[in-house]
Amino acid sequence: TIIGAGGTAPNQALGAEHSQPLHAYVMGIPGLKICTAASPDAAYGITKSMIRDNGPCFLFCPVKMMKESKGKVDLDKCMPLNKAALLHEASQSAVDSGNAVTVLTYLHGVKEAQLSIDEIKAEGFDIDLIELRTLKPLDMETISKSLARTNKLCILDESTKSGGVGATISAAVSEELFDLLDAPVKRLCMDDAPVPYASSMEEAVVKRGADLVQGVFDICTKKW
Amino acid sequence: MISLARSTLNASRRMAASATATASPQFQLASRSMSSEATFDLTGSFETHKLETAPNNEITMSKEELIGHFKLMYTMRRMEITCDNEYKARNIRGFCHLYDGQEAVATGIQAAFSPDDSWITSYRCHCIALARGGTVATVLAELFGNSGGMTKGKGGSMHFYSKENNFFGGQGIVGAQVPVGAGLAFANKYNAKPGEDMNVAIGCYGDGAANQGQIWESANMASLWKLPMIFCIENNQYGMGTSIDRHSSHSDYYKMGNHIPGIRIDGMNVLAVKEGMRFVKDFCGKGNGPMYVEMMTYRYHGHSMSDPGTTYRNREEIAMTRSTRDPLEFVKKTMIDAGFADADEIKAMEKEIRKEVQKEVLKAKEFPLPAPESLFDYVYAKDLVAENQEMPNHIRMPNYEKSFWAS
Repeated sequence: TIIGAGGTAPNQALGAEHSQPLHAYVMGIPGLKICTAASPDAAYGITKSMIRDNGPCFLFCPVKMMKESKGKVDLDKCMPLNKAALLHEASQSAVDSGNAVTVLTYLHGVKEAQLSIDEIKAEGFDIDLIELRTLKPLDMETISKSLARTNKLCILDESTKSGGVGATISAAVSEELFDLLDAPVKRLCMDDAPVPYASSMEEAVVKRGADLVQGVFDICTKKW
Repeated sequence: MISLARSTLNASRRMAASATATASPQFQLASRSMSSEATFDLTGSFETHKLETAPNNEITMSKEELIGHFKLMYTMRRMEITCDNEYKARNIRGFCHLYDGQEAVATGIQAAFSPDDSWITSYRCHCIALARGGTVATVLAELFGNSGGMTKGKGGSMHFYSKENNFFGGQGIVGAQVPVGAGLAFANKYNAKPGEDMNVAIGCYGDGAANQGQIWESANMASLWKLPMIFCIENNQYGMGTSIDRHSSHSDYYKMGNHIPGIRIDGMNVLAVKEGMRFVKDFCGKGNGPMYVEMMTYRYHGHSMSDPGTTYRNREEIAMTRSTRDPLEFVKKTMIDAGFADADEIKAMEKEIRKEVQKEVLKAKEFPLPAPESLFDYVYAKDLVAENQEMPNHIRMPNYEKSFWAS
């Protein structure tokens, strides 16, 4: 079991080498179970399961959230290594009017998405926020349940366009859940360029809450 | 903890004591009258490993040279202190690793090297960037994230670079610069003109990085192929927060090459660094293979700006080093003793440099922010093959007739 605090937080100004998505690089290694945890209870539960698991496992935690993230932990509870978590459900009215989007995210994106829910609602939209606690294997069941309601998918991804986590998910969804999609999968990910140090430029490269609000707006107003 | 700190301090004290005891310069009467050149004693500044020759025990330096070294070192010191303040004012973000205390190492290497020698170092690179083609303005502008910075604001503190000055960074990942440095040495050997000394390549890294597997690997290849590679360990006694006793089973870093010769140099004495590096450059440039160089030095700040630097070492140690081994104080004393300058002249120089640095900082703040479109600049190498580019004559293609091989 390897536990690492990493990821690519928005607005960290660390330059190219410290913004590389290791979680994306290991996705292709067969036999690994790769999970992410953005809250203490997830970190605790997943770690317990990983230690008891007989195979090699990777747990990624968001480095810039380690100090501030607080919450209750269910002691002695082991969490499953193949289940995503639905953190916020879109209201039925938003779903019925076609203004709901399924948002998949992980690591720092969880905090970014949670903080932008109010703004999204103010714009007249809503989201089913799913934290991908497991990147590999992907929990297609939870994703398809939500997609059946919203029919639109947006991924807030902290890896690059080429070979990133979002790319893998987008491909899997289009292959297995094509009939549930009313729009192409929207991927908010990093460009294929070294992440710049200057904060003014980093803003455009590392996608964050504001980009999610725009993405939800675009996908619901058919801008693709 | 304190006893561990003391034992490492004693090791460096022993070296420093022998160096400082004899470092109040003994100069020859002949040059005294001119006061424009003097010879300084360097006994005790060097320890060698598997070497039959050694650097000279004295160095002759002119007044201009030594004053030049002092000015560069003092500029480095003021620049690093400015970075400290600017970081606390949040004008510099991300990571910031300061080099104050180690100025003599960078200055001495720069003095011994030619502009054609390649230099690659770690993230503690502001002062080396300054020495290698940077100005305080371009360094600070980079740290502020402006387009006037050395890497156009895209690199930040850890990714300085200047190809035309043969400065290859500024590398963020610990130890990763060393195999790249071996590659630079390979390029220097490949491009060397027959009959001339090769340009050397130096890869600077810390004591914390010294046990990285990739370094042993590149040392093996450098030794096999007799590359002009200098493995330079800047031993400041701590790998981040871990003292050398606690992170390395073997603290004689200059002996880490086993069969590869090594030399330990007092890194707080810029004169010793210059003479030592002159010797090393000569040795490696003549094709004798790589060398391990250990610079005994010290950093006053913590590992980075998020490290107060006092949880793993006591303030007494820092203060002690500042008062007995400070590289700037040493140069000042040397200049005064040699009659190159008196205390008032030095004070005037310092005041001048302080003002200069402040001016440069203001200049740095005025550059515009980088344009977002510049994100994709320099991601791919420009097409290097111009239509009528002349290939060096040891390359057979594309025109065999024109090459060295056809004759």
